[in-house]
Amino acid sequence: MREARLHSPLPPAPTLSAKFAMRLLILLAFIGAAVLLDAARSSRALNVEVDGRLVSRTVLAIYDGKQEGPPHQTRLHKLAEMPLNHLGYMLEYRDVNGPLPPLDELARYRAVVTWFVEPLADPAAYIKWLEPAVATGQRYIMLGEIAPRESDELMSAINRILAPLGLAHAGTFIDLTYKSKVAFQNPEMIGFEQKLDKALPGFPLMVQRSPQLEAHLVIDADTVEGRRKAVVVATGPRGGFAAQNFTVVLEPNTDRLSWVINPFSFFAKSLGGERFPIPDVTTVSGRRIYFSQIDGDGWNNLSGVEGYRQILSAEVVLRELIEPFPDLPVSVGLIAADVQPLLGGNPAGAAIARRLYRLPQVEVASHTHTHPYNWSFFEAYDRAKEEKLIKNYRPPDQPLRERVTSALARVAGRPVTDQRYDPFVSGSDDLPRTYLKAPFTLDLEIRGALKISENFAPPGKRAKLYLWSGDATPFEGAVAATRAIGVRNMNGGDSRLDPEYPSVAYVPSISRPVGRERQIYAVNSNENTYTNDWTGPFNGQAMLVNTLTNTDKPRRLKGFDLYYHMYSGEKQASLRAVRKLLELARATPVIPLDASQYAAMADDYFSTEITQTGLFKWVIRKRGALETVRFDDADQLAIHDAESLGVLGANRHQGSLYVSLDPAVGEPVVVLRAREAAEAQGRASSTDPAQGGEPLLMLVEGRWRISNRQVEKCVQSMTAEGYGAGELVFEGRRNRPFRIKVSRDETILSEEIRWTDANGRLALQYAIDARTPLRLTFACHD
Amino acid sequence: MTSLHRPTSLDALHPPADSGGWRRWPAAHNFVLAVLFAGALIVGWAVLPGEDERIEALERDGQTGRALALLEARFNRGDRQQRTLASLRRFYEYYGDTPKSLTMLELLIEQRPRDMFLYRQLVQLYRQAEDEPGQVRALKAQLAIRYSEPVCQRLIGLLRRASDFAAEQQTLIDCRNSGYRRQEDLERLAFLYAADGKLSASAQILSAVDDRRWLRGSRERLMLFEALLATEAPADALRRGVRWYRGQPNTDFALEMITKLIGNERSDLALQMARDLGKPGDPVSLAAAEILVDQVQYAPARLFLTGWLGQVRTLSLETAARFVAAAVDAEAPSLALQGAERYGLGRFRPTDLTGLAEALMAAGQVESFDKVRATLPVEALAASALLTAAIDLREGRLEAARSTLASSTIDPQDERRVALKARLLILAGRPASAGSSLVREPTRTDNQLTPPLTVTTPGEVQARRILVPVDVARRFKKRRLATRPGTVAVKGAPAAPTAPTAVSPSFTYGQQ
Repeated sequence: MREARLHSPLPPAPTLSAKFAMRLLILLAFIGAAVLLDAARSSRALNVEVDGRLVSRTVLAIYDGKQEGPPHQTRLHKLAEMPLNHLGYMLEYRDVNGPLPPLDELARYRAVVTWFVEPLADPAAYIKWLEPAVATGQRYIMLGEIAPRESDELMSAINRILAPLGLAHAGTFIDLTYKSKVAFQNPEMIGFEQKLDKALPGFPLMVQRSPQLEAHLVIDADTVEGRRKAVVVATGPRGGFAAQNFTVVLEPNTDRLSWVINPFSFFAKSLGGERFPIPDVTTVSGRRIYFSQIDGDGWNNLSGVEGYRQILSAEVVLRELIEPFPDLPVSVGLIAADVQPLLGGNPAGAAIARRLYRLPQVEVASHTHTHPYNWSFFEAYDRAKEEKLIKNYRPPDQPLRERVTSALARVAGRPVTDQRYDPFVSGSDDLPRTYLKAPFTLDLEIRGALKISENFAPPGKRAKLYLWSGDATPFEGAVAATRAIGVRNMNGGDSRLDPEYPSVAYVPSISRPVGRERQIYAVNSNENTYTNDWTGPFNGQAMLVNTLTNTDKPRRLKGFDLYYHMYSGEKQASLRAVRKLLELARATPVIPLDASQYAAMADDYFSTEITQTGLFKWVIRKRGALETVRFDDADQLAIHDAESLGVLGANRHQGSLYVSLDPAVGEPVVVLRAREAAEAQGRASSTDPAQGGEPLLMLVEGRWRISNRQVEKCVQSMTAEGYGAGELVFEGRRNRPFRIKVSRDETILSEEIRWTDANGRLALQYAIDARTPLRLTFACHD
Repeated sequence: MTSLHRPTSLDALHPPADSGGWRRWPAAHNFVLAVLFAGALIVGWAVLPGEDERIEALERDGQTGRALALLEARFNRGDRQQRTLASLRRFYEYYGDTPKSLTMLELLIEQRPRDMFLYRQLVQLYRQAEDEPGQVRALKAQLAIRYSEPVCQRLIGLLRRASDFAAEQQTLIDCRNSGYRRQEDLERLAFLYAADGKLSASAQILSAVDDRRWLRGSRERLMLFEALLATEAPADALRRGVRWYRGQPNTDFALEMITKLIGNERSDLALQMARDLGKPGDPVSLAAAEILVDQVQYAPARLFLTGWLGQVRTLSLETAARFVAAAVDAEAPSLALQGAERYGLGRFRPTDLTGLAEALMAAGQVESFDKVRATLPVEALAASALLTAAIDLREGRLEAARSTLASSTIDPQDERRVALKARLLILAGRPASAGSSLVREPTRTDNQLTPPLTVTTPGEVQARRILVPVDVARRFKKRRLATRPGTVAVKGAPAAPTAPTAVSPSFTYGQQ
């Protein structure tokens, strides 16, 4: 039997143990297949999940218009919007007293954010909207109070709102805190600019109800029920909460604000910490942007600078601050009436305007027609009201000496030499605008003013920028008028971050919301604030250097904007301060741009759409002039050169990865991968990357703007354009030779063979004028 | 002397031999001329403009560069005159050279170490240069010479902004000792002392401020109130509290003070405060009844509540809920119902009325019970096993009621429910456990509390806090739970009054 079995052509009948083993094998095979299938399914599910998902960047900001006024006066705008902008988000404002969005529209918002402090007119109505809104799964970020003053009836609803956040309101406020102790604080979140006060401020007794909630500050509070743990700052998957006294504090003696919580970290965590390419307006070609704009104020002032006495300030600025710096562009905004004698201007200024606008580094701009100080006055303009103001205006008293001299001159029948008072030219914001002779018309104020500026420019050189005057808070119609003409607008904001204003609370957001329009804020403040409204010290703007440093590190919040007025040409000290800043700009690795280019980038920050198409893959759409996207905490990440499309390269700064996009590519695709993998490939590969569609060289940083990169077999070309000498750094395979050609209109301006260094870097310098675009060509040279 | 003799040229060479005086003349003449010349030179030299004048003239003519060069040359030669240093400082400022200007000023201060004006300039220059440590140093140096309120204020602010709280506190103390009386900063010092546990020091400062111009903020007032209580000065606390309230009536604040007095075992003063501050029918005077209930003086409490209800004109939900709870606790469910109806049964939260419904049922007032339970939602009724059982009994579902009662467990400390259960068991034909009675159980729950409010405005608006509305009764809760339950009431019968303690006759004013 045994032999027969051995020789039987049929397979032997399995024994019991063999049967068992086989079944086990089959079972294991099934399990294995199931696991694989599941893995495949989940991997597909992951792809499906991210495929084509529009990154939601809009946060619904609900404010109390009755207490805080228009959106630009709210805490959310003044304090929260800048950190949110930095993280890639934009705010859409709604007044709590008006209609709030229907619940079915909430899906398009990333979160709802509020910062209520003063009592609401109708907290019940708001709670009635908020409760179902939060129940839809919407993230809710609450700074300050939920709905002050909450009545008894609302408490249970408030707790239902707080429940998804993982919080519950115990219904007590601890006002006297001397018995309270800090139980826990997250040093990365608390004490950002101001440490926790030794005498703790009051706080509500919020208790943690969910382990998913990450408490950042917990206070062991003494209550009537005994000691309890109060959570005063927390974030979680459904939003965040920061009690009012632990957000921003005001130091009353110095009248300065400072953040207690880290707003960047708080908002990032509250919004889920999603990684996506953040539209960035601080950096182009891997470098911090530089631009400059001059408001025309003081154009006709006589200078007191040695060697320029009795010369107009505008001329001093031209000769001292603009002509010697052809590598640093500047946008000059003329006040049209300044050169119109009929309105009270000085025709001598016109010649200077012509000379200025002839310079290639000068961009034509307008600083209004009649220089409004108070823009809101003109929203519902009434000439009769203005005339009444003019009539009732009492000019400042003349000094006694001048009055006596004038009186004596009049008695003697001699001409009075002192400046006669012109009721239609105001030297201060006591009246609504500077030039009051003709009635205000919006068209003349904007279109007319731009046209006048253009008239002084060489043919074809168009005015591109409108610089707001006075309080720099134009009404919606005025901003819309600039858009209608097709120019960019800018000014306002007054950014400071220095020992005198030691908080990011003084760094404004990108723009000011004004109805359906956006006013783009200037990036830095001007000498008027640094010189205490031009009363001195007149070298005050030299301190801009502190803000420049602090807004670049530890995170780049703003570019480098040298913003001043023509009256800087009036004083020796102010002239010196601006000159030093120009020299600093020259010595700093920046990319100089026209101010209108920045304004365009800032505008397009808001239109940019980002669609996630893979775990580490995004498509950027509707980006307009925006040229950089950023990834924070990206030390371990790198651009996947071969997979990305329209990506010129990337640079690192303070742990962030700044990705330069090719302006010529409409919808670039950004793909990330592990930095190690990228570096390993750079070390290992010996083939020409261009053959695989991968660029030969990626841009790291440069003083010129790069565009229209073409990659062919072992040849890569691109267009370069910019101010000043070309400083370009590329990165590619190590120790590779390239034939580099610089040409313009078929004319070769430079040709050389250069090798990438041991790090794969290739640093180029060209003393060529690139204001007219150049073509750079890199070819393999083996 | 005149002479007709006109000397020729030869004469001039050979003067007359007989005129010996003339022979000496040339020497004298030359001497005089030389003296005159020298004198002219001296005078000329003397009247020549000096370097200082030249510098001034150059400056006047707008040649500041040349003027500065002259001054710098003098400085480099070792000239350290105050005039030179001051001029150099002025020129450097004109040119916007702050570091050099600072150097000159520091050199000047070396020569005039007690010149406050120079120190003020130094502080200003450090501020311009955005050198905060330098500014702090200069301010401290200024204070070391002479006390100045603005200097103290600025220095304290800078130290606070730098989160250097120890230095801030020390500066506050030093400045205060020198005469600094800025109210906000003194209040701040008091809070810093309190954080150190030094309540007497805190009370001393706040009392002084309050005596001088009254404390403005409710938080500061409350701090002083509490500090005075902690430092065994309750009478002073009461005096100030009454004064504050009369100056600025604030119900919530008054209730908070009353609560604090009770918390400090000073119910007598709390009653006095409620009497002094409250008006018939207002939320503050209601606290008197709550205190009486807390002291197990039910009869006076009932009397008071009856009077109070007669006086009341308007009721908020919070006050109405307090009244109902106090009346239930005072074993007067009918009175509680009366108050609840006055406010409107339908306007209460379910949690406010469940206690009332239970008390009514326990007291056997079934019709009133039906009235209240009709306003309660199903969920609220279902949440209470006893109410469910009571309704079953009322609707003839005996077995269901028995089953519910059998499965329900009652906290033995919860005497009202114990009494209710006993009553329901009897109605269901089951023996009730002994000792069941209708007694008070705090009917107020956490969510009856008015939510906290803090108004601290960042930005331009100065941070200010509005005091939290306080539920006085809730504050009592902890103590009341700890106290021994009052006299046991006979089920179904009106509660037996406990012996009232001495109460001021004025507490009957609520009945007027």
